[in-house]
Amino acid sequence: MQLLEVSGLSKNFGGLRAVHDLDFQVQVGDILGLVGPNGAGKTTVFNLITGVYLPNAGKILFRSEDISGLKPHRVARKGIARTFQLTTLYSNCSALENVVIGHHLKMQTGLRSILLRTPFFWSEEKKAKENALQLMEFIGLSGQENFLAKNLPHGHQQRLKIAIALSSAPQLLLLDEPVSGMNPEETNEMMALIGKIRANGITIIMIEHDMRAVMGLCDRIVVINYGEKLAEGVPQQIQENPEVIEAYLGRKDDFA
Amino acid sequence: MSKKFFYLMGLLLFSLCIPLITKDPYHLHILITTMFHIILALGLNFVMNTAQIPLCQAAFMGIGAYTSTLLVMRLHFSFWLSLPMAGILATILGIIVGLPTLRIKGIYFAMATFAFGEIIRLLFVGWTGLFGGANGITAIPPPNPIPLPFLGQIEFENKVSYYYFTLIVLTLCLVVIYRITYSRVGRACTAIRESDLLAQCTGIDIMGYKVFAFALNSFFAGIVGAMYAHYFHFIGPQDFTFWQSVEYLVFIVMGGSGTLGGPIIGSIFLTFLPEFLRMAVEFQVVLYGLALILVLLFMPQGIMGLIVKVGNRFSKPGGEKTNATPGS
Amino acid sequence: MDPIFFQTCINGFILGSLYLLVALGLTLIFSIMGVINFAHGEIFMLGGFATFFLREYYGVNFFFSLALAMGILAAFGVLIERMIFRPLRGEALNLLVISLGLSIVLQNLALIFWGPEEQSYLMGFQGVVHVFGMVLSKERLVSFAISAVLVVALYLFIGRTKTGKALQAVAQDSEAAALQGININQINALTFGIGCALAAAAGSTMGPIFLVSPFMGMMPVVKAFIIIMLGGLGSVVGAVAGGLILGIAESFGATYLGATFQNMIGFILLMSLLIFKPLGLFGYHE
Repeated sequence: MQLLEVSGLSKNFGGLRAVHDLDFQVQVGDILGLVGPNGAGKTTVFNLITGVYLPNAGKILFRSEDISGLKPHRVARKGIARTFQLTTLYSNCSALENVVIGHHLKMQTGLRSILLRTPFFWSEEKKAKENALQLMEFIGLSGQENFLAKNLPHGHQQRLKIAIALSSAPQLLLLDEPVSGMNPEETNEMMALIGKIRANGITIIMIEHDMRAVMGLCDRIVVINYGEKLAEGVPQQIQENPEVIEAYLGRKDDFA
Repeated sequence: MSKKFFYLMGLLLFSLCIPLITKDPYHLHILITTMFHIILALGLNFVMNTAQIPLCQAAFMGIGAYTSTLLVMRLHFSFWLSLPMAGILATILGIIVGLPTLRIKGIYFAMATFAFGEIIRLLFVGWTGLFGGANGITAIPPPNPIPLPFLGQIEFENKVSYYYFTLIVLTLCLVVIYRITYSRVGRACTAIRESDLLAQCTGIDIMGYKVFAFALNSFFAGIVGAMYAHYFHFIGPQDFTFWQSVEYLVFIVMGGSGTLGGPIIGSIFLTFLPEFLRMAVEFQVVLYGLALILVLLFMPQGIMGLIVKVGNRFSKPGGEKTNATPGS
Repeated sequence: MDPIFFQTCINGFILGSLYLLVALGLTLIFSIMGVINFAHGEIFMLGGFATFFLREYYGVNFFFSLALAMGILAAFGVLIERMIFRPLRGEALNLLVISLGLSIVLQNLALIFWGPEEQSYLMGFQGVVHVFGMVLSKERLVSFAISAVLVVALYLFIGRTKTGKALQAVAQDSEAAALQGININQINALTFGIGCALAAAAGSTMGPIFLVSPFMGMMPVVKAFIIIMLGGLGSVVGAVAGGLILGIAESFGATYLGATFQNMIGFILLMSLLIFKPLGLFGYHE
């Protein structure tokens, strides 16, 4: 079943064509890789899907529902979560607080229960906190709960970002360069984590430059260059595609 | 229940007993005005937690004040009806102003609210027929007496009754703001402040929360405005100027923004300070200004920041949020 | 054509040019340092008083007094920047409140030492000039000329000199500028000094027209904020445009409308502009 379908997607900034006439689909349970040279427009695609940018043309269908042009918080409510390339965290909050904040969507407490501190309020708070602790264990950050997000080492921050995204129990997770800045060991751990996430039934689209991660994890890959789709297919196909190789300026060893 | 809860209960008990300790109207007056300031500072701080800094606090106060005054004096409403109406009207105006302006960021938002505040003030000055012009409105009656079965009635001519009345309103305000802050609404506001991009993408409706915070603040400001009018028995446009709006900002910054205790401490400190400085007569105001400068030079996190630092020295580590780096 | 119309226009121009000097100093300080300096009005006031004392007590020629006042306040500005603003760099709210504290201190010290009465002094040339049926006082013409000279000088300084370009660099991105070897501390000090000098100049030229008193700084600062917002933060051209618009609007308002509603129009205009075009007419995108 198609979870996400992007068709004819285009975005211009002034005279610059950031994304042009892009089509691709993602099946439920897949990991789709979105790759391309720097500046190809990958993060723009994520921004378009999550509603941060308004598309100039094209449609975005999520579970057959048109979500193009919806505001970001509405897109999140539909079941799409994402991480950001830059360290976009709640820096001055503790790691646990970051994840608890992420539970905003899942919690049902309204003003009445908040102001009256009903038993429902307390049970929701407890649930959120327990869930947050579980999530932190899941992503391997147990014991780090009380450290301020800005003080965590880079690798842990990357995981925290994912925990925040997971707290809204999304169906589709968009990961923007999850292994950037990581050494091979950390990359392996992250790859295992991403595999675990998929095993829990979450579909993933991943932007990455690290080809080992891409080839190792993705079921399908879409290659973008200058905002347009260059190629699409299973990792094997992409590896052997001459246009793709050329787009990366002949860096053949990346594909080894 | 933690230590904090007991401290607060103790403080509340103490506050309840103050009029028994001193009946000096001057002391009660200072405490009442301090409580007004605390409520206004708490409300403003709540808005500031959504990364917006309004400069029109006094305008909403004025709207509440004139509304209640006119309802009581022209339409012969009971104060106890005009009070909530003042709050509601201020809230409605807050939403009307907030919707177009809250999408603007930073200094531009501040300037837009500044302009709004001035428009309202000029309206009070210019519309003489309704608002009494530059001379304002005098002889505003105190709140209507509340009859108690078997016990007579509570009069509001004297400061003791007003003190308790204000204390009740302050406590309600504190409870409301505390409970909202430590809930998913409060966390959403923190998220907006820390990273509105991330907040949006985790499902937080930024405009919704900003308008909510702004409206809530307008409500409290309107209520305090009404209480102010019927306490001082006189209001005029000069009570609701830009400088008053800035005052509450100063209370928050001096006390320490971003905490609940900060606005409270800042309000208390800066309302009491001029009273202590009266002894210096001529230099009273200069010293006040100097206090602002010196506190910020030596305590950039505000008074609350200092208290937290000192508190950290004495408390045990672990279990609480820490600024340490993992592995250290 | 209606001579009153032209007279009103010219008055508006002159009024605008005076507010403009204050606004320029303020926008300069804001764009480089991110400080909204509440004490700017007091610098303006001190400039006026400095010139007043130089004129009335020492009989110094007006233009020398102006220059001296600018120099004194520029030095004072550098001192303030070093002692009060630099320690709090980056903390917008703290800077705002501390500048407010400074404003209170300066205004009230002036009140204590010099009393609340409005004083006056003369530029040194009396009389009026008649042009095309309009009456223009020589003093106002001179103040307009001074404003014009200073504005042009500032524009050339920022646009054409090496230091001026360094200033622009710091305004756009102070970290990048630092990496290029620009001494941020020096630039900030210089900027503050220039901003204060401009305010002092405005105070000196406005003194004879509007009288000096410890409170004279409050109103021009508010007008300066409006001008900056109208024209866009950080833009000299914008400030000029904003100043002229405000001056003319106020002039027409005073002539044809009541005082209260004249002021209100300015604020309604400002609020609408901020809602629909928050960056002002010429401001740059942050």
